[in-house]
Amino acid sequence: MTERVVRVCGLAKSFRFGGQTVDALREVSFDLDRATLVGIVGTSGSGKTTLVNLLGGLDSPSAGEIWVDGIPVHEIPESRLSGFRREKVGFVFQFYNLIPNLSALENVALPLEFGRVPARLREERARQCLTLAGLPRERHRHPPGRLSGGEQQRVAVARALVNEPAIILADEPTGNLDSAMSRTIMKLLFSLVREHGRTVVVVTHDHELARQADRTLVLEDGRLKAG
Amino acid sequence: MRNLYRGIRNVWRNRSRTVVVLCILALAAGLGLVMLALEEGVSSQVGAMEASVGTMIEIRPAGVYGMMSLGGLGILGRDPGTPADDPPPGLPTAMLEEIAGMPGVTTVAPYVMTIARDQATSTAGMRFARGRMVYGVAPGGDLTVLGGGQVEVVSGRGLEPGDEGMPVVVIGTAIAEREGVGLGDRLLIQDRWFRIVGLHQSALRMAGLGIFMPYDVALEVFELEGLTQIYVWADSIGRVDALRETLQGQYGEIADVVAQKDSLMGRLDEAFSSLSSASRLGLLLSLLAAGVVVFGSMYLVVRERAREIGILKAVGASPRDIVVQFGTEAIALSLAGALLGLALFVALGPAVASRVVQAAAPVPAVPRMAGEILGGSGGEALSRFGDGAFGRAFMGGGRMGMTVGTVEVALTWSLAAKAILGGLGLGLAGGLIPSLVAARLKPAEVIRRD
Ligand SMILES: Nc1ncnc2c1ncn2[C@@H]1O[C@H](COP(=O)(O)OP(=O)(O)O)[C@@H](O)[C@H]1O
Ligand SMILES: [Mg+2]
Repeated sequence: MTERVVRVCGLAKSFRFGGQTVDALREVSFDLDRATLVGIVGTSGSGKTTLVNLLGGLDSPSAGEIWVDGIPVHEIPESRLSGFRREKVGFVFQFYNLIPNLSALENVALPLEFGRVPARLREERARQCLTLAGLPRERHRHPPGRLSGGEQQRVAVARALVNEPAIILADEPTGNLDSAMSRTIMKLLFSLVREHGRTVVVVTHDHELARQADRTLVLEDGRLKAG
Repeated sequence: MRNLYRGIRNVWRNRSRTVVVLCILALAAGLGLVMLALEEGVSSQVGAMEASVGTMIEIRPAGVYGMMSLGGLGILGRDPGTPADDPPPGLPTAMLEEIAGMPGVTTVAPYVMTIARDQATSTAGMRFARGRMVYGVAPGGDLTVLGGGQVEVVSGRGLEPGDEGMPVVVIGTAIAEREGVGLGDRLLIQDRWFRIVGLHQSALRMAGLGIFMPYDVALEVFELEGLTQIYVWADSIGRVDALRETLQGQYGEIADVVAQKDSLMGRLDEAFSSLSSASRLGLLLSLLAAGVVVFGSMYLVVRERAREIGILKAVGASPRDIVVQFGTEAIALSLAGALLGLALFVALGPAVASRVVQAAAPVPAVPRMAGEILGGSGGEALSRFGDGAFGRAFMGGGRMGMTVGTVEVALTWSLAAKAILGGLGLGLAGGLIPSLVAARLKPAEVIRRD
């Protein structure tokens, strides 16, 4: 029994830059099932980041529809997108993007803070996620600067998990890690899908990973090539 | 709550910059507080001065003289040749009773001032040079000359109750010497004989030529139509304005009514306005400088942390969360600056304040000014009989000059409260635009930047 969690229909996004218009995405349509790991591949500049940003409500489409967990994201005004992101989306970025003066635990708890979750619950939940992401308990209070790249990315994954989002979007999460570290992070992402029933969308250049994914979307010049 | 916490915590993110910014803010706040304290000090002293100059109101015939001038004296002294249908202006004595019955009036004092025809040389040219100033006062009151303050009775007695209508005078020792008369002798004034019951002395030459007699006698002997002044005292400083209004309403047609505190304060305000406006300008400039510093530093913070703001938004921060966090940071920064400024003020305020006072209003100038106002050409208007307040007012002027010279700039609760409120306001004002800019950053764009 599969359940559709994402539905994208005729999606287009163009940027105006200087006097020119760049069509980063054109006529993109696809559906994604819950509890799958979806790889997005494509050359640099093919529109992968743009697609992920649109799925996560970080940006608004120029045309088309995006439904996430039954919500018409394309209809949400920009001022209210933060609520959508807080409740439905988890982001993992290439450069970890942790807040440097907050501890690992505080970083993970951030989405819950913005969701006004009570402090006790927040900490408990953040600890659970950090443990699940594989950060040893004694490192929970450390600031990002004291953690290795791999550990920081574990914290980032924990942060993307903490609000129990409908989709986790990871934009080249291993792009900044060595291959051994990359493999452990990929394993972590797979375990989220296989063991915890999460839906994960991963932008990657790693063909190994792309092969293992439940599904791979190939972008070329802003168009979906194969699904 | 966590937004506030993060905002406050972020103040320390870039320590060296924060230290520099706090130093500038502390300097600006400290200076601003000195200016504020000066402003408060000056206004409180002006208030104290106002209270000390008392509750006197002067009534004089309309339009005859502003500040009593010697030209004015000429009109009042009636030459024998002056036609009777050209009466000198004056205030009817009936006013004394009427005013005494008004609510809030404690004392009413009549006053007549004129110049007696010189018995020895009646040529017009010599009149003033050898003239005798005649003052008609209420018997029992102080003997006060216009332009010279009180005189001291050195032998015999002053004018006492019961002297009304009696041909008695108290004359200056200078006149006694000049005319070869003494205590108990008779003196011819305007073809009338007076008995000299007392001799008075004063440091001022003008006063030495003064002859005091009961005012009713003076009116009669000099054939005056009325009093040259009426002095009224209110029972409290708060009552002065209302009483002045009442008197103006009643006698406005024939008289000018001036409260001593107003005429004096008008002049004193001039003396203080330079200090006051300098301190106000200083306060404004330091506020402005602090505002620019808060704004600039918060603007840099937002630019520097654009990416982080994008991340916060990506993980669910609403625009409001961002505004609160960065607004809090701005307020915490400027509040810290204000508190440091307060400390700086406590440490260095008095020294800085006295420098500012010296620069804005050289110390000797103030007492000189006050002395001029109270004792000099305009001082006659302030002469006050009855309770010797003239001396008090004069002393008040002198004392005020001294205290402004060393204006006390102590830390008060109100000053501390103003510093804190100022810090809050500055944080809000300086941090508002940067916070709004932060809240409007587009997460997709700022995260993309590397
Ligand atoms: N904010 C933007 N302004 C202008 N052009 C942009 C912007 N974001 C992306 N683009 C352009 O859109 C295209 C797709 O970019 P992106 O989605 O980042 O590609 P990828 O992630 O696959 O490398 C690129 O040509 C890029 O230059
Ligand atoms: Mg990309």
